[in-house]
Amino acid sequence: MIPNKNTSLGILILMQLLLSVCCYAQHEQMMKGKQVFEQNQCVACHGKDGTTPYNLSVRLDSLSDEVLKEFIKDPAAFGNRQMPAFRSILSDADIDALIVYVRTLSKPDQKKRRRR
Amino acid sequence: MLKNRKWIIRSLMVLLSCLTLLQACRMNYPVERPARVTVVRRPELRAEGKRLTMLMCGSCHYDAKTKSLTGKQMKDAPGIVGKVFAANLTNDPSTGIFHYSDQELKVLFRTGISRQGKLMPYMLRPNLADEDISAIITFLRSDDALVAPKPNTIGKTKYTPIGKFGISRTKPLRYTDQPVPKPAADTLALGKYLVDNLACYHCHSKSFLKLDYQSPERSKGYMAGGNRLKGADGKTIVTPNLTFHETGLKGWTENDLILLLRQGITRDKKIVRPPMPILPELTDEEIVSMYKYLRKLPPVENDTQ
Repeated sequence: MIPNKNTSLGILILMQLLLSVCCYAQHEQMMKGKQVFEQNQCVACHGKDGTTPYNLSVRLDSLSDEVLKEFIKDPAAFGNRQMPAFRSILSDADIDALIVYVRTLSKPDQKKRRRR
Repeated sequence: MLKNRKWIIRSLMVLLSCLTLLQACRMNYPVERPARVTVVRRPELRAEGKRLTMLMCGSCHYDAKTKSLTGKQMKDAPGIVGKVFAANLTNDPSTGIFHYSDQELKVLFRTGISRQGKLMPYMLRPNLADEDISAIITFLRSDDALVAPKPNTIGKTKYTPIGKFGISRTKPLRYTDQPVPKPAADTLALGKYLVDNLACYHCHSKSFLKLDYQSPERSKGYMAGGNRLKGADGKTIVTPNLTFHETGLKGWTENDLILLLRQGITRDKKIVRPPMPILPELTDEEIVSMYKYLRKLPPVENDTQ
């Protein structure tokens, strides 16, 4: 059965609507993550853009969300002896939002390209 | 003629001042070869040795990138001191501790002098118990991945003249082969032992230049904070007062200290920042002993925050 024009238009609008809702949710999540990043002194070690002095972007791509979440909760379990264990001050929802945000931070090569 | 004599006297005075300054900046000493240095490797202490090595050496020598004790740059050292790199503690023959004998390692802990005769005051642990030295050396000589030979190519320490002058303020200690027991039964003595050998007092006293390694409690401003270090963001950090004064740890509980040392979270849910290390290997009993010892110290007013 070939859908008529009205049905096609309806499906398109519905998809657009769903996409907008997803984008909005993602944006909300990112804004919450930014707030968590800034309120919990992440800036002190990673800088506002996550690159100085302890660069975040170098390793982030190689870590899945699940591993990153476990790392943020207990960095010592991964051999990191400098970063505090955030499991006692951040909720799972906070950490999820934080991960969405830190993945948006610029990578060094992107920065260089922008400078050029 | 008179003018010439004045010039000669002035030149001699300048030369003498330079020589005095050079002597003051002395960092190399004749290598001491004590007649008797007792070190016994004890395989049953290997696991304890690994825990102690991570606690006492890990903060400076463990590199998360290589996942071993290859050393790393000490970013908290102020630039005025120079570039400082913690040594490679793996058994690498070219850059590690492969050529150190067990005795030379013990002499380094007790006197602060390396096998090449270089002064390293931050390594000084004259009160580290023989049992713990044996455990650490047993672990360092093991086949554990943390100490498996890996060449360190991070960098070589280079002090500025000011750095050399600062380091040389500490004079090396003489080696004595007197037995040093570990205070296991006495809680307060264990707390004092840990504050000493985890080097808490290095940063949490007034100044690195005023430390007394033999009797830490004689260090200026002992455990009352005020020392200045470089934070991760390059800004100066003034170390907190760890005595039980209103400006220090007053009101803190044992659990607060456990949370801080193991997880890096303060009682008001703030994070501790580098260079303060996280010490997950410390047991409850050890942290409680440190807490009780700190509580016993006279409260000192020093608002560093």
